[in-house]
Amino acid sequence: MNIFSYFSKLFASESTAQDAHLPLKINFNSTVTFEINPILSAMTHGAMIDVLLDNLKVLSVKSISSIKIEGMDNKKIYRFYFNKEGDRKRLFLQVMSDSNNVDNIDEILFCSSVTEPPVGEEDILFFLGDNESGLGEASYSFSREDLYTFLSRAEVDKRLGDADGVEYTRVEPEQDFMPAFSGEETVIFDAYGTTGESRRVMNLMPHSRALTDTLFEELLVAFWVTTSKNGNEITIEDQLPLAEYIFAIKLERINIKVI
Amino acid sequence: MKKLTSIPLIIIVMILLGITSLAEARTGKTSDSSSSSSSKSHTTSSKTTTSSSSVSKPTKTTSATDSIFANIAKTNAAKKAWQERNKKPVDNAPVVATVPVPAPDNSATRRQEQQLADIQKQIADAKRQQQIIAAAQTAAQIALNNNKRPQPVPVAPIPTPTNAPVSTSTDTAPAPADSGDTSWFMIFLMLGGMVLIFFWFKKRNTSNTIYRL
Repeated sequence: MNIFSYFSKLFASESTAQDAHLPLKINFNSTVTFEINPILSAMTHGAMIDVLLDNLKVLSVKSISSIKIEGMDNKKIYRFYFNKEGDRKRLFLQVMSDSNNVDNIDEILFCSSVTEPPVGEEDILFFLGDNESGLGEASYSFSREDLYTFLSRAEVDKRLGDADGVEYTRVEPEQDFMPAFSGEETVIFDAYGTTGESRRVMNLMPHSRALTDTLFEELLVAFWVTTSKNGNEITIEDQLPLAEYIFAIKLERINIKVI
Repeated sequence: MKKLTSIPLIIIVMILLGITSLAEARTGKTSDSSSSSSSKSHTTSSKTTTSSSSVSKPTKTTSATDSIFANIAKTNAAKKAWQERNKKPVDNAPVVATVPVPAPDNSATRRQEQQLADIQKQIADAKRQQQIIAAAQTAAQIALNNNKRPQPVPVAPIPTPTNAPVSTSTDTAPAPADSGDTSWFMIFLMLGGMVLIFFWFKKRNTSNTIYRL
């Protein structure tokens, strides 16, 4: 081996940027632009996604995460967050792809979510799906009053119409109970992963609702807790579990422009 | 004359009255705003949360309270409930319940794992540094070898001391040859330095990476 091949080998093995090879070639320097039509169409048909359409023209990536779901070793979920860290309402693009080939994309979801802490142990058991009840049952519903906590009253009234609430159904609804998915989410706040968070996802359950014959809205209910921040472990005493309601619309690659 | 003096007096009194009424109005306004904010917190806190996990269908269980205090209370309650939840399995464990060791054991092994990872990282760093030093040494060695090779060639022509003006030109001839050697050496040194700096930067980023996607 000559000196040149030695150095080239050294150079080649030194790629440290964590955002270098991600789906849709999105990284921290990316500006993402969305085609408004699919999202607007979903919203006019009553989807509960919370986003200002004008904001979809230019969105910059604030943090990036990857989620490893237990039992799904060949798949990985990537999230590109557009909101500031610590916001109660979050806006992100979720991409599911092959673990080994990020260009092989299975699903792209445009998501808006609300997080809130559970109220007491009963709520925790509910979100953990203990005793085969709560999260994991065949459907998940929100009353009009519940929705008022996510969106403005006027927006809820406009989207809900005369209905009392909305109901989302899990896959295989004929089964009374299905244990939710669990996994680990790693979030980075900078390209090299020198700052970030580790989150334990106790439960994650996808549901969906038909808006029209061909248009669907997705609901992912997640229950997670941050276990470390910027390299510091968070002890149980300081951990705050959060329930997250993620309203999402499926997008195609052509609906997204990455600059 | 009396009328003339009384008019400015009346104006002064009116101005004073105006100032005092304005001040009163201002203090009144602040107390109003404080009362309105407290009334808001009253209305929000009266919105009690209800858990509906007993209902057969899952429904969203909490209602939002925008009040900061209510949110802090909610956060604390959630933390406490989470702690309780995490403590319970240890207490309820049928056989191991009496042994209070598992929790510290876990943290000890985690710490050990962390220490092990740190040591492995340090070893990797040291190894990398050794590689860099070896590379720099190799580069320097090659530079030295290159310097040694052309040296005999310029030494061969020995000037004759017959002509004074010519001798000055030949005297100056070996000097550029020497400086040429050093410049090559300098180039290699600089290249080596640049490579070192490059790797130092790279390594700095690598060693600071905590979270990997």
